[in-house]
Amino acid sequence: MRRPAWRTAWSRPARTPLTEVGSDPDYRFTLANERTFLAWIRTSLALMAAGVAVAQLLPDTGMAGARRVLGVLLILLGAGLAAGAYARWERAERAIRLGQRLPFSLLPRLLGGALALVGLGALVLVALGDA
Amino acid sequence: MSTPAREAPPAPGVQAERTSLSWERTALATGVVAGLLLHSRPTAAAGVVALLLTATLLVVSRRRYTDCLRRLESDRSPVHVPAVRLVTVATLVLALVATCAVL
Repeated sequence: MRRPAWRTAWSRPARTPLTEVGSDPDYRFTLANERTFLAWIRTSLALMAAGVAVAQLLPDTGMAGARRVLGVLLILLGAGLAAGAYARWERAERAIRLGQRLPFSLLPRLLGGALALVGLGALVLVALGDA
Repeated sequence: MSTPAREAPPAPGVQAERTSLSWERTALATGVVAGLLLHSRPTAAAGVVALLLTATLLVVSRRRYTDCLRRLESDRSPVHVPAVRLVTVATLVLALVATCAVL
């Protein structure tokens, strides 16, 4: 009997541990994958730093709580990116061990789209603050 | 077609070192967040937590490096799942702490 998709998404059948999948690949691929993961984590940390800075250091634009909302959004975006970075790393390492094509990742799209929204939000803040 | 001599695989130590530097940069990025949180008094407690995470990540970086070299010497895959998981969790904890501090 098939379970609905929303359930299988949460409780997948136990997957083979990463180190038992396929065979040990060229170590350079593994290390490159790890560095890409770390680069995503640093991007996530930079967003969190920006979020803290926005909430803390920005001059008050007169809109109560707007800085705080923008700051928290940036931090949460950073958190989402960190979780996504782990998922991307795990899937890529699996694919490398199986000699498969690297999986498609939504992360760049997520980051680009969210940053555009944050930019627009900041623009509105600045415009309203000056008015 | 002749193969240039420089296509020989690079010494594993170089790759391990590059990866180790990447780990250290990540730990330092955590330090930046810690510094920002320590900047003002209401968020200073969160800053202390962030500093502890920074210290943890620096230690993990170091251990990851020696472990990586050891594995490469004995011709094993350098993949280290717990280290990657630890960084992910540390980043998520930092996000949680920073959110609570800012709110």
